[in-house]
Parts: sequence; structure tokens; C-alpha cells
Amino acid sequence: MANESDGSEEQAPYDSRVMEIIDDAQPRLGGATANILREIALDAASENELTQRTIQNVSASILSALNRKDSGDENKAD
Amino acid sequence: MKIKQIRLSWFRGASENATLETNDKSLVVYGRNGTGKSSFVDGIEYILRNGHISHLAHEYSGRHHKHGVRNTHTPSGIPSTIGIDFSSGETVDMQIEPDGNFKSACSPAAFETEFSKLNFARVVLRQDEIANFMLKTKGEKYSALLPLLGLHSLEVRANNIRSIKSETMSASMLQRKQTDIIRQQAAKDAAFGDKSDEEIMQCLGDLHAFYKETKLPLDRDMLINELEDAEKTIISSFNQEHARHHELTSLLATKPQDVLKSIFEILDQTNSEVDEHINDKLSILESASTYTERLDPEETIPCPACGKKILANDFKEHVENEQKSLQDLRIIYMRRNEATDNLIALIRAIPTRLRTPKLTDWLSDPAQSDVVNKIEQLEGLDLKSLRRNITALQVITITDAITLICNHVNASTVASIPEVEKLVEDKKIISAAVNLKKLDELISDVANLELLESTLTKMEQEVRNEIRFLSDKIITEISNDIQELWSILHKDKPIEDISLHLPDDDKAIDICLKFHGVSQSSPRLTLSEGHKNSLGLCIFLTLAKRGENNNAPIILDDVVTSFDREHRGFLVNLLNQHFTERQIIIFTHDREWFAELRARLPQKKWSFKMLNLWKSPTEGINWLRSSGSLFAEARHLVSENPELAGNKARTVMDIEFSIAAESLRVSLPYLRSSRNDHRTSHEFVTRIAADAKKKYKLNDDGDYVPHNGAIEALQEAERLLVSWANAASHGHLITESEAEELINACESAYTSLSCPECNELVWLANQEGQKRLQCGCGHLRWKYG
Repeated sequence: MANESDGSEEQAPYDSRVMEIIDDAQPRLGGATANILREIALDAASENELTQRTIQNVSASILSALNRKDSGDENKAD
Repeated sequence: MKIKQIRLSWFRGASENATLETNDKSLVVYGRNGTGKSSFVDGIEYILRNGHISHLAHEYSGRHHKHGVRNTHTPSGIPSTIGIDFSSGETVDMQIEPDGNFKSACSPAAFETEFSKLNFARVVLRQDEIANFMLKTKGEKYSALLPLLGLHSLEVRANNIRSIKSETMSASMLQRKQTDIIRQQAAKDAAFGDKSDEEIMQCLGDLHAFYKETKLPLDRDMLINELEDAEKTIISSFNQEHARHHELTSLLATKPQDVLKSIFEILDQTNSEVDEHINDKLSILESASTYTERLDPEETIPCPACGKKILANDFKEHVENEQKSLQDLRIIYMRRNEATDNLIALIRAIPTRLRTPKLTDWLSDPAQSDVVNKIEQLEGLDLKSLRRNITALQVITITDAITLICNHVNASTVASIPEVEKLVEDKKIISAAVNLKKLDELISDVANLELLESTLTKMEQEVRNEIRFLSDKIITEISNDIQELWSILHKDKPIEDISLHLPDDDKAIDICLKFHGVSQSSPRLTLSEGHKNSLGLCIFLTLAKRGENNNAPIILDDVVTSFDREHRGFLVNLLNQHFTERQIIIFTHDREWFAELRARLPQKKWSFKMLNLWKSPTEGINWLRSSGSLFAEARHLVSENPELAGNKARTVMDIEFSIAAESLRVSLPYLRSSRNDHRTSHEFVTRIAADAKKKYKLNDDGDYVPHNGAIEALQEAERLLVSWANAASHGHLITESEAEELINACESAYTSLSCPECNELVWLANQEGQKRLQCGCGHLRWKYG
């Protein structure tokens, strides 16, 4: 966005930029998937590279949430 | 944060015990090459990098550097240890077992977080690391600086998102589903041509009107369901002849010959090893592609294949072409898999269809005995093995069998039964309509996955945008500091506007500057070796000043190797001006610089130590006795080699008194050409002793009186330097007691320039207005001018 006082460009904070991306996708991806993506985007503890096992688990969670959305029962209790 | 002491035991060059004590001050350690200086730096690196030492990361050091970190003569079963004690009372200890495994302990435990947060590269600067950094490509500079800018965690986050995306897309079989869509779309086109959805509905409506007398349902899925029901009803009402004709015609409608033709075509293009080959090649190219990202496009590199020098850009283009060619090959392989799958489906379908009760009579006819044999042959095939690796010979055998069966089926369906044949044709449309529903679901599924993929891509890109934004901001801030430090090291050098900058490419940082008014995009274009290293030092010292741990000690390991004397001197100014509050530990093998540091750095804040020659692994690292004394090394040699001891003492005097003469602004007679640079201590001491009579005063109850003790000490040193030191340095014999006396005289002369009250040298402070130098407390004064 433009800074009116000095004409320089200011960047919106990372958190809000990335949240906007996920918010835009949420209607089609579903709430559960979007929530997992939010956790990934803001994971403050991402000091270390994830292990392959963790990556596989996260990936499985995303696909499971996406499938639940497709089957229309994403809001049902697990 | 100050280091109180570093303790080593059987680690690197240390034997049972080697301790570096700082007395809570900054410290300069002098030691010749191989005396064990770097063992202490290695100890810090080992702790801060959790068991890793960069220069030991090679094939010979073994797992956990077990062949490199332990003293080669460590007694069996004894662990190596490293300990760091801090002035605050906290300690960090690391114990390394003989197999290289290690464990650390901190006391108190909470301290671990504070200490372990320190970034090694912000704490320790080694000469080779600075030199290497300056020679790195802009991509490598990015990787080296990112952690120092505090942005490494963002880079990790971006990589984690990329890995999650890659794994998710792979697990979702997106690529397979995209191919399925293409296949099902082709089946739809075959059945309905380029008909629109309305026209397809019209077509299905016409069929409904033909087969059903009920009212047309509104919904497409209901329409299809009704058509499927109608089809089943008609088939069940067929007489035996119609039923047999229907089964055989349906089999031919699956176009077995087309399936056989496809498998033949694709086998011509590929073979079973292709996938393995592609995977190998793609993984190699993936690494090569990552490597090319780090290259400067204009840089020449040796071609990994032929060794010729090629432009990095050409290499990059080559890698991209290879990747494309392999991707094309992979598509062919996918088609091969698809053709194999279709063939296997056919092999399964033919016996199943022909063994239906409706064809029992037909099959039991002796005329079909060959068909029965071929069915049995198909049933006996190992389909799993065929799917893994189908050969051309197997395809020929299978083709023969299926062709014979089809010929028999054809012969049995020569007599046409129009209503059955219409049903078989209509059934194709109904089946295609059934698949429309699956196709819609598949398209929706793929659209979601593609959205997921693009969302994850955007998320990664946002993290990278953030890295770039923050890098830009930080490097703008630190560029001023770098320029300031450079200006201290290089007064009046026409190099200005030094700044880090981010080129347009991702993951790259470079340094630009103005050289004699001309903008340069890299210091490698114009700067000398020494200036490049000096610039590297400025960058790292600037980064060491920044961040949360800007009170951490700074350790400089032989960082001035490529500096000339003038710039080494300016580095002292830089440390004095910008790092007064930090503990600095300097390791150097440069005797002259050690002397200069000792002469110019305040004794209140700095201590000085010298390492003895390292003789054997069992003796290990050891300090010179009276390590604080400049003459300790000479004293150590007295009993063993008096001539060498005398010579050492003179060398110390040559260095120390040239600095003293310069600091005291003593005028020396001009000598022609290079002889000015070859003056010896005798000349300096003589002039200083002569000037001291008028200029050197000490405070005696408020009055400043000539410092007679110093004058006598200087004159005695002058006398002995002429006689015994000259003799020693020219290879003449001197006795042990003569060497001892010479060293004592030299030490007294040097000590006479220091204040007994504050321990500082007389030139510590300069009162320019009064043209006077004095020690820290003012007890000693030297009037110049």
C-alpha cells in the first residue's frame, strides 16, 4: 500500500498477507484445510527443517481435511 | 557475556589439561603456527555448532569427526572434554566419547538457551572464512549471511512449506488424476463427439424416450440411472440366441484390437528400464538445478561432463533442456503404463465375459475348443509380473490368443440381430454417460488439489517475499555501519558507498561499492586481496554488533594475515572505538602485531598471553611461564640455547622499541632508501634513552621530575644490546648468565615505559594541546615536540 505522507511503498505484515491468501482459498478448500494451512504459515517454531515423517503426517492431515470437505462432513465431530 | 576460561582435555592439540584464562578481560594470544591457538577456537565451534567443526567436515574425520577432534594420544577409554566458564558463573561442558558421540551439560540448565542461541559466525571470525566468503558467489553469500541477518528461520519455513507441498501433491496422485481426466475426456469425446451438455442431455433423452415409456426425469443422474435400469431389463428379457449375440457383440465392442495395437506402439518407444533411468537422471538434474541457482550467470565453470570452461548461463540452459527432455520421456512412460493397464484389463475381461452362463453352450461347442485353450492360457498369466515388466514376446503370445478368440467371436456374430446391436451401441453411450458423473467428480477433485497446490506455492512465495523485504531493510541499515568501519580501516581510500544489495534473482546477496567514483557491482572486480578481506571483516564485525546477542564475546582467529602493518594498526582503532563494551579474544601468530596490540591496548581491559611451542601430543598445549611477559619465550630458551634466547630478546626489542619510538614521537636520523625500515632496537633504545633525559618525567609528590630509573634501565639495555645481543644474533657464543642478564635488562627497559601505578604505557593518553603523552593515571609523562 502507498504511504500517503511520503509516497513510499509500505508492505502489509507477513501474517496478514499470508492469511489473505488462505482466506481466499478457504471457500473451496474448506475450513479444516485452511486451519492446517494457517498453522503451517505461522508456525513460529519452524527453526528446524521438518523430518520426512512430520512432512508426511502434515500432508496426510491436509488431504484428509480436504476429503472431509469434499464429502461434506467437515463440520462433523471427529 | 564474558568468557572466564576455556578448558580443554584431550581435545585437538590439548593433552590432559589446557586452560585459556581471560581474567574477565579481553585477551590477545600469541603463538606460532601449530602451538594450539585454534584448538580453543575449535572447542567453541564444537559447542556452538553442536558437535560440528567446519574445517573437519571431510571424508577422513569420520562420524562426528571422531578421528579429528580427539588428541591422537588420548589414553584408552578417556573422554575428551571442552568446557567454557563464564564470568557470570554459568558453565557449558561437552564430553566426547572415543566413538565421537558427545553429550553436553550446562549449569544452570536455563543458561543453555542463552548460550546455545549464539550464532557461531557472529562470535568467531577466522581468516580463511573471511577470505572464502569474499570469493563466494552471490548465492553462496546469501546462504552465509542469511543466518547472520536473523532470517534463517524464515528460509527454513519456506523450505518446509515447499516440502509439504511436494509431499501432498505426490500423495494426492494429482498427476495421475490429471491424466485420468484427459483419458476420460477422450472417452467422452468418443461417445458424444463435440456435443454440448444440452446436446448430450438431448441424446440421453432420446434414448430414454426409446427405452422407457415413463416421463422424462429432470436430473441427468436420474436419467442415467433409469437408462441403466432399462438396459438391464431388456437384457434379462433376451432369449438364449439374443443373449449369446449380445455377450459376444459386447466383447467385440470393447475393441480388443485397439488395445493390442497401442501396446505394440508404445513398446517400440520405451522399455522397462526407462523409469529408473528417468528418476536417476531427474534427481541428478534437480541437484544440478539447485547448483545453477547459486552461480553468477557470467561466471565460467568447468562443465561437470567434459571439464571445459563454460558460462554458467549455458550450463543452466543445458540442465533445463535435459530436464524437459526427461519429462517428455516420462510422459511416454506414463502412456506405456496406461497401455499395459488396458491390456491387463482386457486379459481379465475376456475370460470373465466368455465364461458367463449365457455363453456356456457356445463355449462347449467343439468348434470353440481353441477358444477354451486360449482362455485358459490368458487365465494362467501372472498379471502382477506383466504389469512390472512386459516383454514384446509376451505381447505377441497374448495377441495371438486374443486375436484367435476375436476371430471366433466375429464368426459367431456374422448373422446380424439389429435390436441387440442397437442396444450394444446405445450401451456405449449409457456407459459414457455414467462416466460423466465420475469425470465431474474428478474435475472437482483436481481443481481443489490444484488450488491447494497454488495456495501452498503462494504461501512459500510470501515467506520468500518477507525474507527479501527484511533482508532489504536490514542490509540498508548495516550498510552504513560497514562503510563506517571500512572508513576507520582505510582512511582516505577512494572507495565509498559500500553496501550490501539484493540482485533481482532470488536467494542472492552481493556487495557493491564505488571505486574511484565508478560504481562496481562486486568487490572482486577491483579490490586487492587485502582490501577484500578487510571488507569481509567489516561486514562480519558489523553483523557481530547487531542482534539480540550483541553482548557476546567476539573471537578473531588470525584475521589480519593479509593486512599490512598500517591496516593492522587501524584495526586496533576500530576495536577501541566500536567494541569497547565487548570481550574480544584475538589469536595471532604475528609477533609484530602482538607487540603493537600490547603497546596500544589499555592493560585495564586487555591481557596478553603467549603459547609455548607444541612439542608432542602427550605434552599438548602449554603456556609460556610468565606468559604475561614479552620476554617469556626468550627466558624459556636460556638454559637450552643461550644464543637463541639472546636473539629472541633482541627480536622482541626490535619490534617493541620501533613501536615505542613511533608512539613517543622520537625523531630518528634519516637513512637512505630502505635502511629506514631496517633499524634495530639499539638505534631506537639509544634515541629514546637520550630523549628521556629531557622528556620523560614522573610524579614525585606533585612535581614532575626526570625518571632516572627509566633512563638507567634504557642505558643498560642499550649497552648490552650492542655487546651480547649483537654477538648472539651473529652466531657468537654467549653464556647462560649473559643471556639472562641481557633479557633482564631488556625487560627492565621495556617495563620502564609502563606506569607502576596503573600498568599502562606512557603513551596511552595524548594531551595534544600540551604536546604531552601520559599513562592512564598521569603518574608518567612524556613531553614531545
